[in-house]
Amino acid sequence: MLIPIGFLAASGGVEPPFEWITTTTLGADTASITFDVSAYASTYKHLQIRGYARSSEAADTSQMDIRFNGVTTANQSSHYMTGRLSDNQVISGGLTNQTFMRIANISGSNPAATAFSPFVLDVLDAFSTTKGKVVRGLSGSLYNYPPSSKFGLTSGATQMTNAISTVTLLVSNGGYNLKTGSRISIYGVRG
Amino acid sequence: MPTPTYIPLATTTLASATFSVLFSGFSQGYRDLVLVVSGKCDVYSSTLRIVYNQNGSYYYTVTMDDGGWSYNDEGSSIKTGTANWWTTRPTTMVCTINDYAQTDRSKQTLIRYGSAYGKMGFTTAHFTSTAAISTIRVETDYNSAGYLMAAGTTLSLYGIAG
Repeated sequence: MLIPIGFLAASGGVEPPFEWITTTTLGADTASITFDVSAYASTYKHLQIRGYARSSEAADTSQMDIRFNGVTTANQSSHYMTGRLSDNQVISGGLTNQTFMRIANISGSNPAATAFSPFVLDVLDAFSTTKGKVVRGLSGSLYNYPPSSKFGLTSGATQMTNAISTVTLLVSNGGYNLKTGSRISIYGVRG
Repeated sequence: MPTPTYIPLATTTLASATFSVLFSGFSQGYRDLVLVVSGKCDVYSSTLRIVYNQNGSYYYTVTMDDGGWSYNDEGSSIKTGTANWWTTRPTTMVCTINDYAQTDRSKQTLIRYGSAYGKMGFTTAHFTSTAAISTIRVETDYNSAGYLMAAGTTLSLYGIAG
């Protein structure tokens, strides 16, 4: 038997540990989405970004990038572990000295218009002023069989130690648009 | 104004070995769902499956990375991991189901899983229907004693606003 357990954080004066800040759902194809989180530096420890998106790239899959504070210094890196579906091997690799962090795989425009791709990104210690910023991601783009898509675990790092004030998501370093209907939400996590 | 979320919707801890658990009647008012399963197989090992909307037709495709290799599958349910990941040792699975109530898009699920037996991995699954997800059935891949979810296994469902 399932037991409904209601709203966990409703009593006892304990502040909710996980809160939804805002959501953007695109009404038109857009090059990037930026969230201003500067007001939350004293409220939250971490950020989580959750989304369901597709891109305008004429391909089965596309790569989504993230930037903090609009910084385009070429000292950002990312790593990935993903399935190589041609021979069922898991591969890993990375990018260094980039102006962005490549952080998720999303659907391109080749799949049906109803195909969007989920991703969950965690930005730990987002408002620290002494640590470089690291983001981890889990994402996947799958719509057919045998699959021609990508999915996997990713991480990104920047040497910027400033508190994060803005978070920008874009496709292939701005080479393509996020498609209409793409939805991205941002959450604050207390700690 | 930020909104408290990651709301527990339902949970169950199995009193006896069980083949299948059905979540139903949960709100369609959240943006995402998170399903957490923590437990083990009763005697041998099996693989957990997920079925949405009681739809057992050929609507599911799956790709998974398990340790050093990847695997593809398609069929009438989501196979959450490779064979025998759900063992008699403690195992955990976390599934995120984004935009589950939207009807203009098909549904993809991200899954992370692992067991103390040694297997760990992650899975992407595509449910090709655009219907809102109103029920989630979790079951093992073999309905027979020895291949069931063991007593003490806990299954929890959370809603995330957005």
